[in-house]
Amino acid sequence: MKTEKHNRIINHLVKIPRDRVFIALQDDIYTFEDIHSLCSEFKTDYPEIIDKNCAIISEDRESLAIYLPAIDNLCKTIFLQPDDIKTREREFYHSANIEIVIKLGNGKVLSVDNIACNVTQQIAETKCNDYILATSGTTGEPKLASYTLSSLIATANKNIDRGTEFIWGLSYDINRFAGLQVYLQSIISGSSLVIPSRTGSMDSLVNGYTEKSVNCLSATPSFWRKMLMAPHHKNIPLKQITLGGEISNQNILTALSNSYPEANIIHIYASTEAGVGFAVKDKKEGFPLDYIDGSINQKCQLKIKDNVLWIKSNHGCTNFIKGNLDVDNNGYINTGDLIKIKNDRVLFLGRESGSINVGGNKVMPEKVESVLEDSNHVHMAKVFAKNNSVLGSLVSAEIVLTDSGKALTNKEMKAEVIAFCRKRLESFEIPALLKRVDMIQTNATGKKIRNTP
Amino acid sequence: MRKIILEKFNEALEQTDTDKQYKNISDDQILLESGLDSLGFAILVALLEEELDFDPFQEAEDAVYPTTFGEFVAIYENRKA
Repeated sequence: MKTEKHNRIINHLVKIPRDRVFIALQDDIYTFEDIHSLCSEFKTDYPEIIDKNCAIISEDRESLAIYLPAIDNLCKTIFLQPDDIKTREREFYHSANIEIVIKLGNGKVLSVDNIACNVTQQIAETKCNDYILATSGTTGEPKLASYTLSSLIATANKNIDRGTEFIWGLSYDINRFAGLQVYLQSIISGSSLVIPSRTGSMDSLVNGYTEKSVNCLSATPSFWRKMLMAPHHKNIPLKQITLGGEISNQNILTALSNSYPEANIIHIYASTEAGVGFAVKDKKEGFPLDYIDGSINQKCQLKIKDNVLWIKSNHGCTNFIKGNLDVDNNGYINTGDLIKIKNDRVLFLGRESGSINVGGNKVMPEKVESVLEDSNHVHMAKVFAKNNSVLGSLVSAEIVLTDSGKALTNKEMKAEVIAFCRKRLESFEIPALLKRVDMIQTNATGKKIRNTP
Repeated sequence: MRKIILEKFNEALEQTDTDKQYKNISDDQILLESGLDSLGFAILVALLEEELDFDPFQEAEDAVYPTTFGEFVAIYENRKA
Protein backbone atom coordinates (compact mmCIF):
# COMPACT_ATOMS: atom_id res chain seq x y z
CA MET A 1 0.00 0.00 0.00
CA LYS A 2 1.34 3.38 -0.92
CA THR A 3 1.94 5.66 2.04
CA GLU A 4 2.41 9.38 1.83
CA LYS A 5 5.90 10.61 2.61
CA HIS A 6 5.85 12.13 6.07
CA ASN A 7 5.65 15.87 5.60
CA ARG A 8 6.78 17.61 8.77
CA ILE A 9 6.39 21.14 10.09
CA ILE A 10 10.16 21.49 10.43
CA ASN A 11 10.59 21.05 6.66
CA HIS A 12 8.63 24.29 6.26
CA LEU A 13 10.17 26.02 9.25
CA VAL A 14 13.72 25.80 7.84
CA LYS A 15 12.70 27.71 4.71
CA ILE A 16 11.86 30.84 6.73
CA PRO A 17 14.52 33.52 7.42
CA ARG A 18 15.51 32.64 10.97
CA ASP A 19 15.38 36.09 12.51
CA ARG A 20 11.69 36.53 11.71
CA VAL A 21 9.40 36.60 14.71
CA PHE A 22 7.11 33.58 14.73
CA ILE A 23 5.24 33.63 18.04
CA ALA A 24 4.42 36.87 19.85
CA LEU A 25 3.10 36.35 23.37
CA GLN A 26 2.02 39.04 25.77
CA ASP A 27 5.54 39.53 27.18
CA ASP A 28 7.73 37.28 25.11
CA ILE A 29 8.66 36.51 21.52
CA TYR A 30 10.00 33.43 19.76
CA THR A 31 11.77 33.73 16.40
CA PHE A 32 11.75 30.92 13.85
CA GLU A 33 15.35 30.32 14.96
CA ASP A 34 14.21 29.83 18.58
CA ILE A 35 11.64 27.24 17.56
CA HIS A 36 14.19 25.50 15.38
CA SER A 37 16.68 25.27 18.27
CA LEU A 38 13.94 23.93 20.48
CA CYS A 39 13.32 21.15 17.95
CA SER A 40 16.98 20.05 18.25
CA GLU A 41 16.96 20.17 22.05
CA PHE A 42 13.71 18.26 22.21
CA LYS A 43 15.10 15.53 19.98
CA THR A 44 18.03 15.03 22.36
CA ASP A 45 15.82 15.06 25.47
CA TYR A 46 12.98 12.81 24.32
CA PRO A 47 14.24 10.17 21.88
CA GLU A 48 11.61 7.76 23.24
CA ILE A 49 8.82 9.43 21.30
CA ILE A 50 10.40 8.88 17.88
CA ASP A 51 7.88 7.27 15.54
CA LYS A 52 5.30 6.91 18.28
CA ASN A 53 1.65 7.93 18.29
CA CYS A 54 1.40 10.75 20.79
CA ALA A 55 -1.42 12.65 22.47
CA ILE A 56 -0.65 16.21 23.54
CA ILE A 57 -2.42 17.84 26.47
CA SER A 58 -1.53 21.48 26.93
CA GLU A 59 -2.55 23.61 29.89
CA ASP A 60 -2.29 26.74 27.80
CA ARG A 61 -2.17 27.75 24.14
CA GLU A 62 1.31 29.21 24.35
CA SER A 63 3.03 25.95 25.32
CA LEU A 64 1.39 24.02 22.51
CA ALA A 65 2.38 26.71 19.99
CA ILE A 66 6.00 26.57 21.12
CA TYR A 67 6.37 22.79 21.24
CA LEU A 68 4.21 21.54 18.37
CA PRO A 69 6.98 21.65 15.69
CA ALA A 70 9.41 19.83 18.03
CA ILE A 71 6.91 17.07 18.79
CA ASP A 72 5.77 16.85 15.17
CA ASN A 73 9.41 16.42 14.16
CA LEU A 74 9.64 13.12 16.06
CA CYS A 75 6.17 11.58 16.34
CA LYS A 76 4.36 9.44 13.89
CA THR A 77 0.89 10.68 14.74
CA ILE A 78 -0.19 13.57 16.94
CA PHE A 79 -3.54 13.64 18.68
CA LEU A 80 -4.28 17.21 19.72
CA GLN A 81 -6.42 16.41 22.69
CA PRO A 82 -9.21 18.89 23.42
CA ASP A 83 -10.21 19.79 26.98
CA ASP A 84 -13.68 18.31 26.81
CA ILE A 85 -13.06 14.57 26.45
CA LYS A 86 -11.61 13.98 29.90
CA THR A 87 -14.02 11.21 30.89
CA ARG A 88 -13.58 9.32 27.64
CA GLU A 89 -9.83 9.79 27.31
CA ARG A 90 -8.99 6.07 27.38
CA GLU A 91 -11.53 5.24 24.72
CA PHE A 92 -10.11 7.91 22.43
CA TYR A 93 -6.52 6.82 23.06
CA HIS A 94 -7.49 3.31 22.14
CA SER A 95 -9.23 4.36 18.90
CA ALA A 96 -6.25 6.46 17.87
CA ASN A 97 -3.63 3.90 18.95
CA ILE A 98 -1.97 6.39 21.27
CA GLU A 99 1.24 5.17 22.90
CA ILE A 100 2.61 8.30 24.58
CA VAL A 101 0.90 11.18 26.38
CA ILE A 102 2.82 14.45 26.48
CA LYS A 103 1.70 17.12 28.94
CA LEU A 104 2.71 20.74 28.37
CA GLY A 105 2.24 23.86 30.48
CA ASN A 106 3.84 27.17 31.33
CA GLY A 107 6.17 26.98 28.31
CA LYS A 108 7.59 23.63 29.43
CA VAL A 109 7.23 19.90 28.92
CA LEU A 110 5.57 18.73 32.15
CA SER A 111 5.60 15.00 31.53
CA VAL A 112 6.02 12.33 28.86
CA ASP A 113 4.22 9.13 29.78
CA ASN A 114 4.12 5.79 28.10
CA ILE A 115 0.62 4.43 28.29
CA ALA A 116 -0.35 0.83 27.99
CA CYS A 117 -2.49 0.58 24.92
CA ASN A 118 -2.90 -2.33 22.57
CA VAL A 119 -1.67 -0.86 19.34
CA THR A 120 -3.46 -2.44 16.44
CA GLN A 121 -0.34 -3.18 14.44
CA GLN A 122 -2.09 -3.43 11.14
CA ILE A 123 -3.53 0.06 11.32
CA ALA A 124 -0.37 1.57 12.74
CA GLU A 125 1.72 0.23 9.89
CA THR A 126 -0.42 0.93 6.91
CA LYS A 127 -1.51 4.47 7.58
CA CYS A 128 0.48 7.61 7.90
CA ASN A 129 -1.72 10.14 9.63
CA ASP A 130 -0.02 13.21 10.90
CA TYR A 131 -2.76 14.79 12.95
CA ILE A 132 -5.80 13.56 14.79
CA LEU A 133 -8.36 16.15 15.83
CA ALA A 134 -11.62 15.80 17.67
CA THR A 135 -14.59 17.19 15.82
CA SER A 136 -17.93 17.89 17.39
CA GLY A 137 -19.90 15.15 15.70
CA THR A 138 -23.43 15.61 14.44
CA THR A 139 -24.82 13.69 17.39
CA GLY A 140 -23.00 15.96 19.81
CA GLU A 141 -20.48 13.18 20.52
CA PRO A 142 -16.94 14.15 19.52
CA LYS A 143 -15.50 12.15 16.64
CA LEU A 144 -11.86 11.69 15.77
CA ALA A 145 -10.71 12.67 12.31
CA SER A 146 -7.21 12.36 10.96
CA TYR A 147 -5.43 14.62 8.50
CA THR A 148 -2.05 14.69 6.86
CA LEU A 149 -0.06 17.89 7.24
CA SER A 150 -0.25 18.23 3.45
CA SER A 151 -4.03 18.28 3.54
CA LEU A 152 -4.11 20.83 6.36
CA ILE A 153 -1.91 23.26 4.44
CA ALA A 154 -3.33 22.59 0.98
CA THR A 155 -5.06 25.98 0.77
CA ALA A 156 -2.50 27.94 2.81
CA ASN A 157 -0.78 30.88 1.19
CA LYS A 158 2.82 29.75 0.75
CA ASN A 159 4.44 33.01 -0.35
CA ILE A 160 7.29 33.49 2.15
CA ASP A 161 8.35 36.88 0.77
CA ARG A 162 4.89 38.32 1.28
CA GLY A 163 4.59 36.46 4.59
CA THR A 164 6.33 39.31 6.43
CA GLU A 165 3.37 41.55 5.62
CA PHE A 166 0.98 39.45 7.68
CA ILE A 167 0.57 39.30 11.42
CA TRP A 168 -1.99 36.73 12.45
CA GLY A 169 -3.95 36.81 15.66
CA LEU A 170 -5.00 33.54 17.22
CA SER A 171 -8.63 33.38 18.27
CA TYR A 172 -9.23 29.62 18.32
CA ASP A 173 -7.28 27.06 20.28
CA ILE A 174 -4.61 25.26 18.27
CA ASN A 175 -6.11 21.88 19.17
CA ARG A 176 -9.13 22.79 17.03
CA PHE A 177 -9.21 22.52 13.26
CA ALA A 178 -9.60 26.28 12.70
CA GLY A 179 -6.87 27.21 15.17
CA LEU A 180 -4.43 24.65 13.78
CA GLN A 181 -4.96 26.04 10.30
CA VAL A 182 -4.12 29.59 11.38
CA TYR A 183 -1.06 28.29 13.22
CA LEU A 184 0.17 26.34 10.20
CA GLN A 185 -0.58 29.23 7.86
CA SER A 186 1.76 31.44 9.92
CA ILE A 187 4.55 28.89 9.71
CA ILE A 188 4.20 28.10 6.01
CA SER A 189 4.35 31.74 4.96
CA GLY A 190 6.79 32.80 7.69
CA SER A 191 4.30 35.20 9.28
CA SER A 192 4.03 36.21 12.93
CA LEU A 193 1.35 34.75 15.12
CA VAL A 194 0.09 36.79 18.05
CA ILE A 195 -1.21 34.53 20.81
CA PRO A 196 -3.28 36.26 23.45
CA SER A 197 -3.68 34.39 26.71
CA ARG A 198 -7.02 32.68 27.13
CA THR A 199 -8.03 34.87 30.05
CA GLY A 200 -8.90 38.52 29.66
CA SER A 201 -11.84 40.59 28.46
CA MET A 202 -12.72 41.38 24.86
CA ASP A 203 -11.45 44.89 25.48
CA SER A 204 -8.00 43.69 26.54
CA LEU A 205 -7.96 41.29 23.59
CA VAL A 206 -8.70 44.16 21.20
CA ASN A 207 -5.98 46.28 22.79
CA GLY A 208 -3.53 43.36 22.58
CA TYR A 209 -4.24 42.82 18.87
CA THR A 210 -3.90 46.57 18.27
CA GLU A 211 -0.58 46.90 20.14
CA LYS A 212 0.87 43.95 18.26
CA SER A 213 -0.46 45.30 14.91
CA VAL A 214 -2.45 42.15 14.10
CA ASN A 215 -3.73 42.48 10.54
CA CYS A 216 -5.15 39.01 9.83
CA LEU A 217 -7.77 37.41 11.98
CA SER A 218 -9.91 34.35 11.54
CA ALA A 219 -12.86 33.82 13.89
CA THR A 220 -16.47 32.73 14.20
CA PRO A 221 -19.27 35.18 13.34
CA SER A 222 -20.21 35.19 17.06
CA PHE A 223 -16.68 36.17 18.00
CA TRP A 224 -16.70 38.97 15.39
CA ARG A 225 -20.06 40.29 16.61
CA LYS A 226 -18.72 40.51 20.13
CA MET A 227 -15.57 42.18 18.92
CA LEU A 228 -17.56 44.79 17.00
CA MET A 229 -19.17 45.75 20.32
CA ALA A 230 -15.78 46.63 21.82
CA PRO A 231 -15.34 50.41 21.70
CA HIS A 232 -11.83 50.44 20.20
CA HIS A 233 -12.18 47.59 17.72
CA LYS A 234 -11.58 49.83 14.71
CA ASN A 235 -8.01 50.44 15.89
CA ILE A 236 -6.96 46.93 14.88
CA PRO A 237 -5.28 47.43 11.48
CA LEU A 238 -7.06 44.50 9.82
CA LYS A 239 -6.31 43.68 6.18
CA GLN A 240 -7.63 40.15 6.14
CA ILE A 241 -10.81 39.03 7.89
CA THR A 242 -11.93 35.41 7.84
CA LEU A 243 -15.16 34.01 9.22
CA GLY A 244 -15.90 30.34 9.76
CA GLY A 245 -17.34 27.73 12.07
CA GLU A 246 -20.89 29.06 11.95
CA ILE A 247 -23.19 30.46 9.31
CA SER A 248 -22.07 33.96 8.26
CA ASN A 249 -25.15 36.04 7.59
CA GLN A 250 -25.34 39.23 5.59
CA ASN A 251 -25.58 41.39 8.68
CA ILE A 252 -22.17 40.45 10.09
CA LEU A 253 -20.51 40.63 6.66
CA THR A 254 -21.88 44.13 6.13
CA ALA A 255 -21.05 45.23 9.68
CA LEU A 256 -17.46 44.08 9.23
CA SER A 257 -17.07 45.88 5.94
CA ASN A 258 -18.45 49.04 7.58
CA SER A 259 -15.90 48.80 10.40
CA TYR A 260 -12.98 47.72 8.19
CA PRO A 261 -13.67 49.15 4.72
CA GLU A 262 -10.17 48.33 3.44
CA ALA A 263 -10.08 44.70 4.54
CA ASN A 264 -10.60 41.58 2.46
CA ILE A 265 -13.48 39.72 4.04
CA ILE A 266 -13.92 36.06 3.31
CA HIS A 267 -16.19 33.51 4.84
CA ILE A 268 -15.17 29.91 4.81
CA TYR A 269 -17.39 26.93 4.49
CA ALA A 270 -15.60 24.00 6.02
CA SER A 271 -16.97 20.75 7.19
CA THR A 272 -14.47 19.18 9.56
CA GLU A 273 -15.48 15.82 8.15
CA ALA A 274 -14.56 16.79 4.61
CA GLY A 275 -11.47 18.84 5.46
CA VAL A 276 -11.15 22.33 3.99
CA GLY A 277 -14.21 23.40 2.04
CA PHE A 278 -14.21 26.63 0.10
CA ALA A 279 -14.00 30.37 0.56
CA VAL A 280 -16.50 33.03 -0.47
CA LYS A 281 -14.95 36.44 -1.11
CA ASP A 282 -17.76 38.62 -2.40
CA LYS A 283 -19.00 39.74 1.04
CA LYS A 284 -22.39 38.20 0.37
CA GLU A 285 -23.99 35.52 2.52
CA GLY A 286 -24.20 31.93 1.29
CA PHE A 287 -22.35 31.06 -1.89
CA PRO A 288 -22.98 31.43 -5.63
CA LEU A 289 -25.25 28.79 -7.11
CA ASP A 290 -22.73 28.09 -9.87
CA TYR A 291 -20.37 26.54 -7.30
CA ILE A 292 -22.76 23.59 -7.36
CA ASP A 293 -22.23 22.44 -10.91
CA GLY A 294 -18.48 22.94 -10.57
CA SER A 295 -18.34 25.47 -13.39
CA ILE A 296 -15.73 27.45 -11.46
CA ASN A 297 -12.44 26.09 -10.35
CA GLN A 298 -13.00 24.75 -6.85
CA LYS A 299 -10.86 22.37 -4.89
CA CYS A 300 -13.94 20.43 -4.04
CA GLN A 301 -17.14 19.41 -5.74
CA LEU A 302 -20.58 20.09 -4.41
CA LYS A 303 -24.03 18.72 -4.89
CA ILE A 304 -27.41 19.11 -3.27
CA LYS A 305 -29.50 16.12 -2.34
CA ASP A 306 -32.84 16.58 -0.51
CA ASN A 307 -31.92 20.12 0.55
CA VAL A 308 -28.67 18.92 2.10
CA LEU A 309 -25.20 19.86 0.90
CA TRP A 310 -22.86 17.01 -0.07
CA ILE A 311 -19.20 17.70 -0.64
CA LYS A 312 -16.31 15.89 -2.25
CA SER A 313 -12.94 17.33 -1.41
CA ASN A 314 -9.60 16.58 -3.03
CA HIS A 315 -7.66 17.24 0.13
CA GLY A 316 -10.02 16.25 2.86
CA CYS A 317 -9.64 14.33 6.01
CA THR A 318 -7.75 11.14 5.39
CA ASN A 319 -9.94 8.95 7.45
CA PHE A 320 -12.56 8.97 10.14
CA ILE A 321 -11.20 6.99 13.01
CA LYS A 322 -14.14 6.99 15.34
CA GLY A 323 -17.68 7.41 14.12
CA ASN A 324 -19.12 6.80 10.72
CA LEU A 325 -19.15 9.08 7.77
CA ASP A 326 -22.04 9.20 5.32
CA VAL A 327 -20.38 8.80 1.92
CA ASP A 328 -22.24 8.04 -1.31
CA ASN A 329 -21.07 5.87 -4.23
CA ASN A 330 -19.47 8.83 -5.97
CA GLY A 331 -17.37 9.80 -2.97
CA TYR A 332 -19.49 12.73 -1.83
CA ILE A 333 -19.72 13.23 1.95
CA ASN A 334 -22.99 14.25 3.59
CA THR A 335 -22.25 17.53 5.39
CA GLY A 336 -25.52 17.47 7.33
CA ASP A 337 -26.01 21.14 6.45
CA LEU A 338 -29.46 22.13 5.25
CA ILE A 339 -29.55 24.67 2.45
CA LYS A 340 -32.02 26.60 0.36
CA ILE A 341 -31.59 28.24 -3.00
CA LYS A 342 -32.61 31.87 -3.27
CA ASN A 343 -32.09 33.57 -6.61
CA ASP A 344 -28.51 32.78 -7.59
CA ARG A 345 -27.27 32.03 -4.07
CA VAL A 346 -27.19 28.93 -1.92
CA LEU A 347 -27.98 29.83 1.70
CA PHE A 348 -27.38 27.75 4.82
CA LEU A 349 -30.34 27.03 7.08
CA GLY A 350 -28.88 24.90 9.88
CA ARG A 351 -28.21 21.28 10.64
CA GLU A 352 -30.20 18.38 9.28
CA SER A 353 -29.98 16.68 12.68
CA GLY A 354 -31.78 19.65 14.25
CA SER A 355 -28.72 20.36 16.39
CA ILE A 356 -28.50 24.02 17.31
CA ASN A 357 -25.29 26.03 16.98
CA VAL A 358 -25.29 28.63 19.78
CA GLY A 359 -22.23 30.75 19.14
CA GLY A 360 -20.20 27.68 18.18
CA ASN A 361 -21.60 25.45 20.95
CA LYS A 362 -23.61 22.49 19.83
CA VAL A 363 -26.96 21.86 21.46
CA MET A 364 -29.01 18.72 20.88
CA PRO A 365 -32.75 19.48 21.10
CA GLU A 366 -33.63 16.01 22.40
CA LYS A 367 -31.42 16.49 25.45
CA VAL A 368 -33.01 19.83 26.33
CA GLU A 369 -36.49 18.44 25.74
CA SER A 370 -35.92 15.56 28.12
CA VAL A 371 -34.69 17.93 30.84
CA LEU A 372 -37.69 20.22 30.33
CA GLU A 373 -40.04 17.25 30.46
CA ASP A 374 -38.54 16.23 33.82
CA SER A 375 -39.82 19.47 35.32
CA ASN A 376 -43.08 19.18 37.27
CA HIS A 377 -44.50 22.09 35.34
CA VAL A 378 -43.87 20.71 31.84
CA HIS A 379 -45.86 17.97 30.24
CA MET A 380 -44.22 18.01 26.81
CA ALA A 381 -41.59 20.14 25.14
CA LYS A 382 -40.32 20.83 21.65
CA VAL A 383 -36.96 22.51 21.29
CA PHE A 384 -35.76 24.23 18.14
CA ALA A 385 -33.33 26.87 16.90
CA LYS A 386 -34.37 30.50 16.90
CA ASN A 387 -32.31 32.68 14.57
CA ASN A 388 -30.37 35.20 16.56
CA SER A 389 -28.35 38.14 15.37
CA VAL A 390 -25.80 37.90 18.19
CA LEU A 391 -24.98 34.20 18.46
CA GLY A 392 -26.40 32.83 15.20
CA SER A 393 -29.02 30.75 16.99
CA LEU A 394 -30.57 30.46 20.40
CA VAL A 395 -32.44 27.59 21.98
CA SER A 396 -36.18 28.13 21.93
CA ALA A 397 -38.86 25.86 23.32
CA GLU A 398 -42.56 25.34 23.00
CA ILE A 399 -44.00 23.70 26.09
CA VAL A 400 -47.28 22.11 27.05
CA LEU A 401 -47.76 22.78 30.77
CA THR A 402 -49.03 20.45 33.47
CA ASP A 403 -51.72 21.66 35.87
CA SER A 404 -49.07 22.94 38.29
CA GLY A 405 -47.45 24.86 35.44
CA LYS A 406 -50.78 26.29 34.33
CA ALA A 407 -51.38 27.65 37.83
CA LEU A 408 -48.37 29.97 37.49
CA THR A 409 -48.12 33.31 35.71
CA ASN A 410 -45.92 33.32 32.60
CA LYS A 411 -43.15 35.08 34.46
CA GLU A 412 -43.20 32.69 37.44
CA MET A 413 -43.35 29.67 35.17
CA LYS A 414 -40.38 30.85 33.11
CA ALA A 415 -38.31 31.65 36.20
CA GLU A 416 -39.00 28.25 37.74
CA VAL A 417 -38.40 26.24 34.57
CA ILE A 418 -35.15 28.08 33.87
CA ALA A 419 -33.97 27.58 37.46
CA PHE A 420 -34.74 23.87 37.04
CA CYS A 421 -32.74 23.73 33.80
CA ARG A 422 -29.81 25.61 35.27
CA LYS A 423 -28.93 22.71 37.54
CA ARG A 424 -29.00 20.26 34.66
CA LEU A 425 -27.83 22.06 31.50
CA GLU A 426 -24.99 24.28 30.30
CA SER A 427 -25.96 27.95 30.16
CA PHE A 428 -26.08 27.95 26.34
CA GLU A 429 -28.41 24.91 26.37
CA ILE A 430 -31.08 26.53 28.55
CA PRO A 431 -33.98 27.76 26.41
CA ALA A 432 -33.80 31.52 26.02
CA LEU A 433 -37.42 31.66 24.94
CA LEU A 434 -40.25 29.59 26.36
CA LYS A 435 -43.64 29.65 24.75
CA ARG A 436 -46.67 27.92 26.19
CA VAL A 437 -48.70 26.02 23.65
CA ASP A 438 -51.76 23.76 23.90
CA MET A 439 -50.28 20.91 21.92
CA ILE A 440 -47.15 19.77 20.13
CA GLN A 441 -47.54 18.15 16.75
CA THR A 442 -46.19 14.69 16.19
CA ASN A 443 -45.94 12.75 12.96
CA ALA A 444 -47.47 9.37 12.14
CA THR A 445 -44.83 7.52 14.15
CA GLY A 446 -45.42 9.72 17.16
CA LYS A 447 -42.19 11.69 16.77
CA LYS A 448 -42.00 15.43 17.13
CA ILE A 449 -41.85 17.10 13.75
CA ARG A 450 -38.48 18.78 13.23
CA ASN A 451 -36.77 20.87 10.65
CA THR A 452 -38.83 21.19 7.58
CA PRO A 453 -36.77 23.57 5.46
CA MET B 1 -38.66 52.25 24.18
CA ARG B 2 -35.95 52.87 26.78
CA LYS B 3 -38.28 51.52 29.47
CA ILE B 4 -38.94 48.30 27.55
CA ILE B 5 -35.23 47.83 26.86
CA LEU B 6 -34.35 48.40 30.52
CA GLU B 7 -36.97 45.88 31.61
CA LYS B 8 -35.73 43.25 29.15
CA PHE B 9 -32.12 44.05 30.04
CA ASN B 10 -32.87 43.12 33.66
CA GLU B 11 -34.74 40.05 32.51
CA ALA B 12 -31.73 38.94 30.44
CA LEU B 13 -29.44 39.50 33.45
CA GLU B 14 -31.75 37.38 35.56
CA GLN B 15 -32.01 34.68 32.91
CA THR B 16 -28.22 34.36 32.71
CA ASP B 17 -28.05 34.13 36.50
CA THR B 18 -26.22 37.44 36.84
CA ASP B 19 -26.51 38.95 40.28
CA LYS B 20 -27.21 42.44 39.07
CA GLN B 21 -30.27 44.57 38.30
CA TYR B 22 -30.38 48.10 36.94
CA LYS B 23 -32.80 50.87 37.99
CA ASN B 24 -31.28 53.03 35.31
CA ILE B 25 -28.55 52.66 32.73
CA SER B 26 -26.60 55.68 31.56
CA ASP B 27 -26.13 56.26 27.83
CA ASP B 28 -22.36 55.94 28.02
CA GLN B 29 -22.41 52.56 29.78
CA ILE B 30 -20.08 50.27 27.77
CA LEU B 31 -22.20 47.25 26.88
CA LEU B 32 -19.41 44.70 27.24
CA GLU B 33 -18.91 45.96 30.81
CA SER B 34 -22.58 45.95 31.76
CA GLY B 35 -22.65 42.46 33.23
CA LEU B 36 -24.28 40.84 30.20
CA ASP B 37 -22.11 38.37 28.31
CA SER B 38 -22.58 37.33 24.66
CA LEU B 39 -25.30 34.88 25.62
CA GLY B 40 -26.98 37.60 27.68
CA PHE B 41 -27.02 39.96 24.69
CA ALA B 42 -28.34 37.25 22.45
CA ILE B 43 -31.16 36.68 24.96
CA LEU B 44 -31.81 40.43 25.27
CA VAL B 45 -32.18 40.78 21.50
CA ALA B 46 -34.45 37.71 21.40
CA LEU B 47 -36.64 38.99 24.26
CA LEU B 48 -36.95 42.35 22.56
CA GLU B 49 -37.88 40.66 19.31
CA GLU B 50 -40.56 38.70 21.16
CA GLU B 51 -41.91 41.99 22.55
CA LEU B 52 -41.46 44.28 19.54
CA ASP B 53 -41.64 41.86 16.62
CA PHE B 54 -38.39 43.03 15.09
CA ASP B 55 -34.66 42.54 15.48
CA PRO B 56 -32.78 45.53 14.07
CA PHE B 57 -29.55 43.51 13.91
CA GLN B 58 -30.99 40.99 11.48
CA GLU B 59 -31.48 43.71 8.96
CA ALA B 60 -28.57 44.00 6.61
CA GLU B 61 -28.84 47.70 5.83
CA ASP B 62 -26.51 49.94 7.84
CA ALA B 63 -25.28 47.02 9.91
CA VAL B 64 -23.62 48.55 12.94
CA TYR B 65 -22.98 47.04 16.32
CA PRO B 66 -23.50 49.25 19.37
CA THR B 67 -20.73 49.73 21.91
CA THR B 68 -22.71 51.72 24.50
CA PHE B 69 -26.19 51.43 25.98
CA GLY B 70 -27.13 54.78 24.38
CA GLU B 71 -26.23 53.46 20.93
CA PHE B 72 -28.17 50.28 21.59
CA VAL B 73 -31.32 52.22 22.49
CA ALA B 74 -30.85 54.54 19.49
CA ILE B 75 -30.74 51.59 17.09
CA TYR B 76 -34.11 50.37 18.38
CA GLU B 77 -35.61 53.87 18.39
CA ASN B 78 -34.45 54.61 14.86
CA ARG B 79 -35.85 51.35 13.59
CA LYS B 80 -39.23 52.22 15.12
CA ALA B 81 -39.29 55.68 13.52
